[in-house]
Amino acid sequence: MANKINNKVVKKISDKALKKSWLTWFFWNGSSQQGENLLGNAVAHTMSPVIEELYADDKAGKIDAYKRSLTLFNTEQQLGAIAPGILCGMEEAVANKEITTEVSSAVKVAIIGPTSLGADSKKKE
Amino acid sequence: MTILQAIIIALFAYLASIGSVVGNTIGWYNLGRPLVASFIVGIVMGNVPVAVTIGLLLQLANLGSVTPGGALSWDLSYATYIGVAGALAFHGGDIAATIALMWVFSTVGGAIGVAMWNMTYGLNLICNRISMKGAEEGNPKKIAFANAGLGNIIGFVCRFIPALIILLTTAVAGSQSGTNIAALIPSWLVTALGVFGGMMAALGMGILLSFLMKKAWHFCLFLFGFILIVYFALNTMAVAVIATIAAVIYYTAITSNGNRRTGEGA
Repeated sequence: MANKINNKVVKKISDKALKKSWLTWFFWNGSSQQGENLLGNAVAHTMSPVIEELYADDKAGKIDAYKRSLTLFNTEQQLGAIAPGILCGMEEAVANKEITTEVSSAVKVAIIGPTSLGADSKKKE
Repeated sequence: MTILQAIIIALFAYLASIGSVVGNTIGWYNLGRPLVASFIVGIVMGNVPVAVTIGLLLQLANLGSVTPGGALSWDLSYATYIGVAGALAFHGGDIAATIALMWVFSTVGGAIGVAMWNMTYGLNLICNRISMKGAEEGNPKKIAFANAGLGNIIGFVCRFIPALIILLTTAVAGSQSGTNIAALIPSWLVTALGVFGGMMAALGMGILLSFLMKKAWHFCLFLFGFILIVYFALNTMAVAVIATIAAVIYYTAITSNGNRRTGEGA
């Protein structure tokens, strides 16, 4: 989906893609968990509907986005599901060239701790 | 125990593992908890009361168990499915012997579960190569296959087959040849396993208390609940209501503290 604001094309993720993305996370978040990138594959799978939509006509951007989504990632599964949501928002901002990929990658690493820590410690209580 | 029952339980042992097709929220965090798992085993084996009674001991022993970063110390779901199913297959009316047998089966099941999880953890590295290739081609189907498809095939092979083998070689073989393993265990071992099993439940409560108690005086609240259950013989619902009242009074007391000091409050 693309809206025109001030004659500038602004890309926006549709609700359908977000819902598909959430369902993917809910059912497959731990399917290919391993020691190399932990939940990296699951995050790439979760973000694929979003990436497909944002970079529908930009093959190079799509490949770059997939590669960035495959880096090491880990979080808790229920309350930590907010993390892929943040990543989708970051990807939207990257697609609109509002932030650089360095910023989105830094945020991705930064949210691993808070999202998994908060949820995992809640469960212990 | 029939072969069909063993297959159904092995299937649930896979569904309740980390990263099965039903997702971790339904699988590992619900089907994998001993209370739910023993109930399912009870339905399959046709003896829910005994299944839940012995499953509760496993639940108590593992109250504080979490898996941060996929670091699994004890495979709770595997231990419960194997332990409760194995013990129920030889249940002859003596609950103490069944409990002892449950500890034996669940120890074996839990250890094999951890080994199989570590194997899955290593084998899933194959998925990374495929998903990386998918990313380089910009092909979401390849990434989906790597994560949901291959990840689950590996999980299924590593989980379903060992569970089935354990159940077939012990519970099914034993109940079909008429050998009762429970009768072979000497009575002193039954007593010992019962005592140590009870201590496991205390350990589980201890771990949970170490998370819950932030200050030393919180122990008074725990003791208060303990005497209400043990000496006043109240049921859990009654104690929950008393606890709610105590919590509301406590909250009101600490939030009106500032008013009292300045003399403005009622």
